[in-house]
Amino acid sequence: MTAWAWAALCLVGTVLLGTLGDLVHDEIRGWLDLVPHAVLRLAASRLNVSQRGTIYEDEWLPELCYVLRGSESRPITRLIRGITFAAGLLIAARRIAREISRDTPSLPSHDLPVLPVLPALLQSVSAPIARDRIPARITSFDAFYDFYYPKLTLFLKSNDSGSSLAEDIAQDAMIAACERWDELLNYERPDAWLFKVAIRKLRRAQAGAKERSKQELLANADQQSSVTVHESADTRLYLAAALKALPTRQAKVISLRFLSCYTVAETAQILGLTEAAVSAIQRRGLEVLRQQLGPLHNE
Amino acid sequence: MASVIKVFLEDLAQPRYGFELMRITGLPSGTLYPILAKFERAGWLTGGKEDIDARAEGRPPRRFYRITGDAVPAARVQLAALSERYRPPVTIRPQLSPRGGII
Repeated sequence: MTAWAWAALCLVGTVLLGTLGDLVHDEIRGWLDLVPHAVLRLAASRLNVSQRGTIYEDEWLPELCYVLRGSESRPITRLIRGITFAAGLLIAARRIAREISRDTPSLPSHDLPVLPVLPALLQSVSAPIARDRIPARITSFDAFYDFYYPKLTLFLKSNDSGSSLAEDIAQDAMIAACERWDELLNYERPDAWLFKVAIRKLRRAQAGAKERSKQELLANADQQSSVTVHESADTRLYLAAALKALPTRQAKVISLRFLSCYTVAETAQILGLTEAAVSAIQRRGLEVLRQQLGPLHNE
Repeated sequence: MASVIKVFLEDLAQPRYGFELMRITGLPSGTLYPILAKFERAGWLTGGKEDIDARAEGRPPRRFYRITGDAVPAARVQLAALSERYRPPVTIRPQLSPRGGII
């Protein structure tokens, strides 16, 4: 074979190999592009059938196409971004489906925790109830927040020994209310929902602190004395001891009536009782407290 | 959640897309999209479709989100409350001055 023949053969071989390399490159590139789409389809299969049209076809798929086109000049970057995007949705698909199809939350009716201390009650028993007027209908979350946040915080402080915990729980409950504000607007009493959510959160927080001793509770109660800073430590201890004798239901009613300034009707609605029952429980609770706090009250 | 809503508050009229929000907030898609769904269900965000010629662009129109007018004051209040909640306490410690005494 002559040198010219070898050269021609090498040239043809080079061209063929180059073409074959391009074909393989395109084939691999095409297959790699399919990987994020395949992962995204897998994520879509975790959605409800009724949600696939709106979530997968209208949102996820166009976004993935944008991700893949946006970095088309860099195949590895494109592949990594596409797979990361689709894999995240694969993991979160069920959560997203739940969020979209979630209905109005149904709140379990928990009892209020036993009040460890209620120092502000001493003034309320003798003084007329200074109750802020509740607006007839609150339509904006801002107004709802401004009006109920101080009441909720005061209520939680009176039911828990840590004032910082009370503020945290009040914030969390307000955030939950904010997230569901559209639903709450349809409720007859969104503030009742708010208090129930806060009570539930408080119960959860308290469940982890059951082993606290009685002495620790009383010591922590001293820290929340911002409600009545003028009272002495002896007075607070005396009140705490008196309240321990109060039945839970009476403590709940009195706390809502005198600390949170709810009317009898509102308290009845929150606790699921009749107004007559609330009045009776309140009267009995106050009698017990007057007996317990009698010497102190007279000072 | 706060970082997501903060992006919307920076420019109220600006439509925001999922991938764009992922890049700005640094959140992965598995975290971001449940948050967007939650905000949309709560009425804080409203969705829409990108106005493009799909054939010319070579891709389908994306879905965008905008913050609703009603949500703006509530979102600002919530962010302010969160900022207040996580603000570190200010502690002033007395230091000795070079000429004696305490500054």
